[in-house]
Amino acid sequence: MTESERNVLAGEYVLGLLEGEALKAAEAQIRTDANFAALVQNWENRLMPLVEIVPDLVPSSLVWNRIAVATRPPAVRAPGLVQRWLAGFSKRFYAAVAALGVAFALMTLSFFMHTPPEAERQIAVLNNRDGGTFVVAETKTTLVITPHNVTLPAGRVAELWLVVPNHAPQAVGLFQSGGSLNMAIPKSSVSGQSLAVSLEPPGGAPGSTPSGPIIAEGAFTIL
Amino acid sequence: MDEATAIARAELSACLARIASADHAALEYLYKRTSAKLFGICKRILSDTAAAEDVLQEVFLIVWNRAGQFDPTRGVSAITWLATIARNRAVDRLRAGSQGIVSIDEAEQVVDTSPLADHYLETAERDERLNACLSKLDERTATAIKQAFFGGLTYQKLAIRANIPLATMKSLVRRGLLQLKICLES
Repeated sequence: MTESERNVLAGEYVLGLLEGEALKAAEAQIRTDANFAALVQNWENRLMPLVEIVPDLVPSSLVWNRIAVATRPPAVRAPGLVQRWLAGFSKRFYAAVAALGVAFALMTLSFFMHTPPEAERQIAVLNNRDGGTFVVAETKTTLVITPHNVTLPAGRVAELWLVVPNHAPQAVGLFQSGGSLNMAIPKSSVSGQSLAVSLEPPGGAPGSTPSGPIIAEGAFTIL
Repeated sequence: MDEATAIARAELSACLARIASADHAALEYLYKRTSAKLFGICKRILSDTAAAEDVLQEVFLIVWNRAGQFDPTRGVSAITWLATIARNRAVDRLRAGSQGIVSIDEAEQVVDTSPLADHYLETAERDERLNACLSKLDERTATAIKQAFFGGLTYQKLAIRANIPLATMKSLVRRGLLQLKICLES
C-alpha cells in the first residue's frame, strides 16, 4: 500500500466509513503500526474543527448529578452532605426529626428481632430535594429502606445504588414509595458507604448505571 | 493564536492535569466550561436527547479515568481531545444502537450553520482553514465528508443519499481526502 493509500485509509477510518473486515484490519493496524496510528491522529486533528460549527447546547443539570455521584470520593461527600444538611436546616427540620424517629423505631425493632445484637450497625438518611428522606438502616443481614414523605412520579420506581469512587455505581434494589423494604446487604458494602437513589422505569435501570435522575444521596454513619 | 485563546487552552490543559490526580473540583470546573460544547456535538450526532446525555456522562467518566493520557506536548488542544472523545463515542453509539440517523435536513444544516461567536476554546484560524479547504472541494464531496463525520454514515448510505453509484462515492471521498490533506498542509 502506498503512503497516500495509507493516508486515505486513515481518513476513512476517522470519518467512520470503514465496515466489517476493513474496520477490524484498520483497528488492528492502529494497535501494531505506530506510523498508521499517527496518520489516524493527524486526521482527527484535521477534521475535529468541524465540531466548531455545531452550536453549544446546555445539558440538563441531571447529567452532572449522575457524573458527580459516579466520581465523587467519599472523603469529599461527607462534609458536603453535612453542609447541605445545615444549609437547608430550617426546611428540613421537621422531615429530619420524623426521619430520626423512624430510624430509632427501626433500630429498636431490629434490636429485638436480631439476637445477639450486631457489633456494628450503620444508618444513612438520604435527603430528597423536595424535603423527603430515605432512611437506610443496616442490620446484620439486611438493609431496611424506609421512604418518608417521598412521592414517586407515576410509572417510576426508586433504585438504591452503592456509590464506589472511580467505579460505576452498584445497584442494590428497587422499591416503591410506600412502606419499608428489606434488601440483602451487597458484599461490597463498606463502613461509611455512600449511597444514592435514582428514579427508574419499572424493572429498574436498563443498563449498569442509573438511567434516571438521582433524587437523593448520602452516606452511612456508624452507630 | 490570540492571548485569550492561549490562556484558555493552558487553563484547560492544567485542569486535565488536576483531574488526572483525582481532583474532583477540577472535573466540575471542566464540566462547566466544556459540557455545552460537548453536549452540542453529542446531540448533533445522536438527535435523541437521552442518548446524547448518556454519551456526555460517559465522556466525563472516561475523562475522569483517563485524563492522564492527555499530552499537551503533542500539539492537540484539550478541547480537541475532549471533542474527539465525544464525537467518537456518539458515532459509536449511533452505529451500535437503533438511534435515529441525522436527517438530511439536519445534516445540511451543518453546512449552513455559521460558527458561534464564543471562540475562547479553539483558534478560529484552524476552523477557517478547514472550511476554506472544504469549500474548494466538489460540493457533493464536501457534503459527503461532513455527513460521514457527523452522521456515522457508511459509503453505501452516502451513495444512496447523493443518488450516485457506490464506486463513484468511494472515489469522490478518497480523492477529496487527499485534496483536503494537501490543502490543509499547504
